[in-house]
Amino acid sequence: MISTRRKIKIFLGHSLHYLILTAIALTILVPFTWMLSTSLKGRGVLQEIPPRLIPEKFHWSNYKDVLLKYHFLRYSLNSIYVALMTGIGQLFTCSLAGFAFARLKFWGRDVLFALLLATMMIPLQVMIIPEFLIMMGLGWIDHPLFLALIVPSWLAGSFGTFMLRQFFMTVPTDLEDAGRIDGCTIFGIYWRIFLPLSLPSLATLFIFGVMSSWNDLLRPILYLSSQKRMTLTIGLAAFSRQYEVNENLKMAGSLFTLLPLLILYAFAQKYFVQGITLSGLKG
Amino acid sequence: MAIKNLLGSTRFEKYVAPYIFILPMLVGLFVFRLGPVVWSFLLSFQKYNPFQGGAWIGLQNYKELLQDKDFHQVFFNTLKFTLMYLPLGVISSLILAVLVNNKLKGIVIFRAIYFLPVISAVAAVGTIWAWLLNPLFGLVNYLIKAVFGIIGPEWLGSPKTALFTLVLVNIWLTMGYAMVIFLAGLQGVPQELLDAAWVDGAGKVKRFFRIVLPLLSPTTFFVIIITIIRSFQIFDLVYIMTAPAAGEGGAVGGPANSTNVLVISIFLNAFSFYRMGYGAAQAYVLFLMVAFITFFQFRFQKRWVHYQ
Repeated sequence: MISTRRKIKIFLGHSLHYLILTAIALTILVPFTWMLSTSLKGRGVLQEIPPRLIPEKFHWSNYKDVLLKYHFLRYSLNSIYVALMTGIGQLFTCSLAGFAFARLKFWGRDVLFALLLATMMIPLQVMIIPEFLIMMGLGWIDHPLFLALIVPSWLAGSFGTFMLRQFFMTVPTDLEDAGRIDGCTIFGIYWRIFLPLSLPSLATLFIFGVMSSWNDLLRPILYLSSQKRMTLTIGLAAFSRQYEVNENLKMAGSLFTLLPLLILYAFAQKYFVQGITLSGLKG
Repeated sequence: MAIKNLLGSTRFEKYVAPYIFILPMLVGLFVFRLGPVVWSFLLSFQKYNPFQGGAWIGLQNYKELLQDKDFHQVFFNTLKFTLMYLPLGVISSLILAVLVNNKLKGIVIFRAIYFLPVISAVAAVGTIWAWLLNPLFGLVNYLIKAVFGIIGPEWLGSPKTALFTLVLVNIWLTMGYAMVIFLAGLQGVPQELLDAAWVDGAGKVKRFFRIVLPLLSPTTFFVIIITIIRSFQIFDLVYIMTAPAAGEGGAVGGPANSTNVLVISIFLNAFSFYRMGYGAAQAYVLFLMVAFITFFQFRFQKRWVHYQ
């Protein structure tokens, strides 16, 4: 008897728990759902009361218009290019430096590493004005190869360097010695032993780099000016600011801005969470 | 060429190779980090327009900061934002973490959903929320009318509610992040302690406040610090949400400057008005605030936080 009563109590407790969890999940999911719903509506029904969740008629042409007529296809290609360049390039620069800081002895190592850590705590806004002036001086504003967005992420990836250094410190010396005996140079040890061992860390860094670059807003605002060079975030911001643009198209634009990363998140959720929590930063 | 002994290395590997490894990082450290920090400091003593050049004006920019009524409001807005966001943001993330800290079926799906906004582009979710919160045709005010029978607030449309609206959207946007950190902290609370308390007759609530919360204090402290620093630096959301339609007279930081926070002001001064010296001085005010909080963290962590 007692055990049945307990079972009922546990069941009720769980049900209540699920109810609360679901309610919160809805507050997260409703905005995304509403975006999807609005993005398929015609212009005429946007101010309809009560609003419909499922549009009476599906205006798939909204997607075509946004992609082609309003250049979101172009913005997407630009974003993909910048995100991949950022993500891949960082892997090399950060792992090289991380390896040196973890496994090599050289003059000035500890001071340089401390400086690198210290700069991680300095707000970006303190550096952004001179960075803009540097980019202007280099002629990289609105550069066809997007150098102003890509190069700083390659060269100043302090978080990636820090993360990989921490990982490389844990690799046993035996492996390094074995490589030596087999006649590896120091580059060989880095390339053939340390890099393959750190694939999970590299994946985390790659995802983190892609995400930061994809979602970045400030640098594209500063460094891109012509329409054909805009990335999705700045493209969407500029598009939404136009008075004559309606909400259905804005939502279609938002959808295309979010979708690629959401798909990536569905497959590589672990790396997203790791990268974001380790860096202590968001975007 | 030097002869390589079994476990040693050549001269090249000892004296040159390390610097080749760190070369890209070294260039970045000096060109994009340390250099700009110093340059920015020098700029803050100049009147500087990138197209007209600069002139040294000593402490003029800092004097202006002290006298400028607009900047006072900017500073005040930033503090107001932080004071509203800090308690609400931290408490809601903690509640989320407690709710998902179990092994119920499907709990990982809930965690993944709660984390979703954190990975989403602010440019997009800000646009979506601006639509949801549209005072006349938005879903939120429609639901308020349908459920409570009253007319909902103007949200971003009124200087009275705009800043708080940003706080709410920002909580939605970021609570998954602190949730993950709190979750890691919660999972570090030893089960034996909770069991022992349970044997002693402590209820769920009592166990939470007497055992879990004290043990969680290092995590809570970290979350508080990082929340404050981020509030000082809020930019993307304000930029996206406060100028939905330039044609309607919407301005970034509006309406009536009510959402003009520190980084928005730095941005407008440096890159819209090209008053880069003044912008740099504001950036150094931000730097000082962040440095103060960071110092505070290192200094008082030991005293306030209960470590096991």
